[in-house]
Amino acid sequence: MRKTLFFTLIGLIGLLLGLGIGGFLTYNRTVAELGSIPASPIVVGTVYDRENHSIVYAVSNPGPVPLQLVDHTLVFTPGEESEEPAYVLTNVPLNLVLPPFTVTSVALDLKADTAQLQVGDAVATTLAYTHPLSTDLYSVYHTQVISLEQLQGSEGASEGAGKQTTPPATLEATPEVTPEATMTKEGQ
Amino acid sequence: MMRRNGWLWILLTLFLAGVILAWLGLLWGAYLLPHEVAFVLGFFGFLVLGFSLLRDYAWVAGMLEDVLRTRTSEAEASQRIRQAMSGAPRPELTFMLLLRTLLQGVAPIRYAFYGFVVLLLLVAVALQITPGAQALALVMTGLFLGGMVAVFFVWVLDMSVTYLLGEYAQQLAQSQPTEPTGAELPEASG
Repeated sequence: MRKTLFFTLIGLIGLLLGLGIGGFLTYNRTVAELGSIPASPIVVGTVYDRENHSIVYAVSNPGPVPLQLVDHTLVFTPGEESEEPAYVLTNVPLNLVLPPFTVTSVALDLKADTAQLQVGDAVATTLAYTHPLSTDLYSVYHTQVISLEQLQGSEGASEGAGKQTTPPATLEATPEVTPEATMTKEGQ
Repeated sequence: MMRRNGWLWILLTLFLAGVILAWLGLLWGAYLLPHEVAFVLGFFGFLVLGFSLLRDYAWVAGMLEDVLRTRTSEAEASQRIRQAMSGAPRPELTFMLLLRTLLQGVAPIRYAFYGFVVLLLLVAVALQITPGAQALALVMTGLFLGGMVAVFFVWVLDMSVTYLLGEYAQQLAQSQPTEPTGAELPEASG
């Protein structure tokens, strides 16, 4: 009886030790494996910045690998209320790093000296990005048809952008990228 | 102690090969992460460190088991211990006293071995609570847990020897209740 109890206790301690070691190795192996999988950026919000005549996108990087936005292409298609002809801005350099697990505000200038956006206008953007595991260029395509709501919310565009880019509570603080910082120097 | 050290050389070779490979950076990368290398090194390192304990406890436990099951006589077992012990133990020492002397000889090694475990645990915990040392803490924890496997082997044999000594003392007390055996016996309660 005493013998059974004694060696059962030793066996249990061994089991607990094995459980701890297995958990430690498995957990850290999983963290290492998952930590190297890049995600695709997701556009989670759009605001029209009337003052700077730009569109501010809230771009989320839901993965653990930093992504690099290389350039963007913007296609403007006028709605019924707009007098502005359609135009395309191609391959405007961006060079912006999206940190892991954060939502970043990315301001893209509309074409200079064009009329303000009207309800019904469509802005289609292609964001080209790279990640550290490959030399390929990937892209995200986002179309936004301007609604009345977005025009009304665009008076204080910077505050609006701030609201839109608030990340979920579990994520780290959003690095606020000011529109100036991301504006293209070509001024198209 | 004059017993054979064959396994020690195998373990030492494995351990040193692991250390050299890890030092050259050939062990991790595609297959093993740093903390997994540390786990393997900790395991072999503590096997080497506790080798004399493993060997002596296993020897003593096996001999006690034989004596308890009357496969070996006490005189024969005593003779074996006398041969193994350095110096000439006095011939009038009983088997129990010979065992105690032998285990007392191992006691400093046992103390140092468990001391190393505690030291490594403290270092691992200290790194774990140091901000900015996560990578080092992970490797240190791997080293510690790998060592704990070897420590578990030593500890189980240690416990087994303690247990079997108790059994033997009980058997002695039952077989010769009036004669003094020369050893401190635990109370024969059951």
